[in-house]
Amino acid sequence: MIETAADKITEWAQGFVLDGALTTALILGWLAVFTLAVTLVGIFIHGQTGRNPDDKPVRRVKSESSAIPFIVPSLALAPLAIFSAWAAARINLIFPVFEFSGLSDIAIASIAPALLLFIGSGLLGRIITLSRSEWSFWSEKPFVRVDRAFGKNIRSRLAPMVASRILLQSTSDCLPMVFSELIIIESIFNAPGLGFWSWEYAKTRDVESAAKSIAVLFFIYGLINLTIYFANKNLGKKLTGYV
Amino acid sequence: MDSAISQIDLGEAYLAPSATHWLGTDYLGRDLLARIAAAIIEASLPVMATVTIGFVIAGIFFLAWLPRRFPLPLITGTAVIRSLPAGLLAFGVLLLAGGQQRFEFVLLVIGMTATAGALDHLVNCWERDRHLGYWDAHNAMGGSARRRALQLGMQQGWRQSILQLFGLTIQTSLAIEATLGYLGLGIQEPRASLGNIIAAHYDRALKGYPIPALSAVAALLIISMLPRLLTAQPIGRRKPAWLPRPASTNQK
Repeated sequence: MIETAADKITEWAQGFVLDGALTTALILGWLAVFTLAVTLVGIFIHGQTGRNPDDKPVRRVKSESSAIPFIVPSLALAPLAIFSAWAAARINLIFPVFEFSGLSDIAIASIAPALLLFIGSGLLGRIITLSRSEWSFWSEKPFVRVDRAFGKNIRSRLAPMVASRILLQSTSDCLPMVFSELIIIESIFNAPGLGFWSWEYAKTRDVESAAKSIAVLFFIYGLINLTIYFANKNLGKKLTGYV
Repeated sequence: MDSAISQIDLGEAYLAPSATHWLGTDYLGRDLLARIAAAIIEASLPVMATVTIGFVIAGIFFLAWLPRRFPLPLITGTAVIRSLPAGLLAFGVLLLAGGQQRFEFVLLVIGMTATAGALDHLVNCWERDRHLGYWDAHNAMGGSARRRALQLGMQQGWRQSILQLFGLTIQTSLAIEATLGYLGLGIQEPRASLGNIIAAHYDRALKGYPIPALSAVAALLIISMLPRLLTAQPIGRRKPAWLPRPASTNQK
């Protein structure tokens, strides 16, 4: 019975779903790399330049006004990037043909869509805002002041805490926009991911296959959301111990 | 205007910008500026109107429901709809409902997500603020919950965040409409949408004639960023200058 179910799933996922999932996973993977990299850079910069709150009050960022990410429609951003890259440096950002390309070609080609998705969905802006507000929020905590008074390195103490909070918060704020824009990004870059395939099937009015691709996308979205939820819950428990 | 934007003249296709055609002509010889204007009127303005109506409906429903407690299914439902990727949701709903070519379906999905988002935001604000000291004092003096929500909430404390959410919702809705138009859903040729203008000229742009596609891209950027910029909170100021100052309240 288990074999039959496994066979059915394999049969269902054969072909475009597996290939599509691979491309989509590569784009989302690069997106995760950019998110992590910018978060670490933000923390490093604020760790270097952040003022001591005992010297001068740190300007607090109002959480309500900064909670809304600043998005740029990918339909505008992506063509601009493609035309500019070609006009300025003759760099072709369009995906190579899937069947005639190796995994490394596809992986490299996924960088540009992921970068535009990173900017367009508001993740970049959100991380920049959050890194400032989170760093100033935590550096004012009494335990940090005590550490500072004893001459301890607060940067190494605060960095993991602030990084995990920024990553979780920014991802949960911008994830809906990331998945909203995935179809258009894949379509413009000709990247054969799940969004691209759902569009292709929508064009040929093959509703069943298109719905299959969208269902897989929603499944991935749900999975990431669940991960964020449990990580948030776990982190929340740990952070309540810090005063 | 209709005749100007839908008049096909293949002999005039892809004309460069001139005094007659400020942005040139498209692949069917139609004036591009008129097409973009038509796209804003036919597609973008209805989207903005739908979002506005969605917010008004959410506000009226919210005030009408008070002072009763909001039922859990409503709170959960609006929160779930708000947290879903709206573009993907609209795409899926259009496909499954078989309304790929109907703009009304796009507006319906946009209106539904806008209403759910606004209602979720209002309920969250209410749950957060309803036990504030001066709100309790207002209650003790016999003030009604609706009056508190309207005067102390919507007109004062929540106003900026509602405005920002409104700006963001319009921006994302315009992006979704244009995206669906690009993907061939919603508004169809010969009616104009910024998305289908970009789609029609994208291949040509890749071959070295980017003016039509870039003009539509620029229009999309301007029209989608404008509501957001108008409702943004300027740095160092409490609210946009064009908003009237709220009546002073002793919030402490």
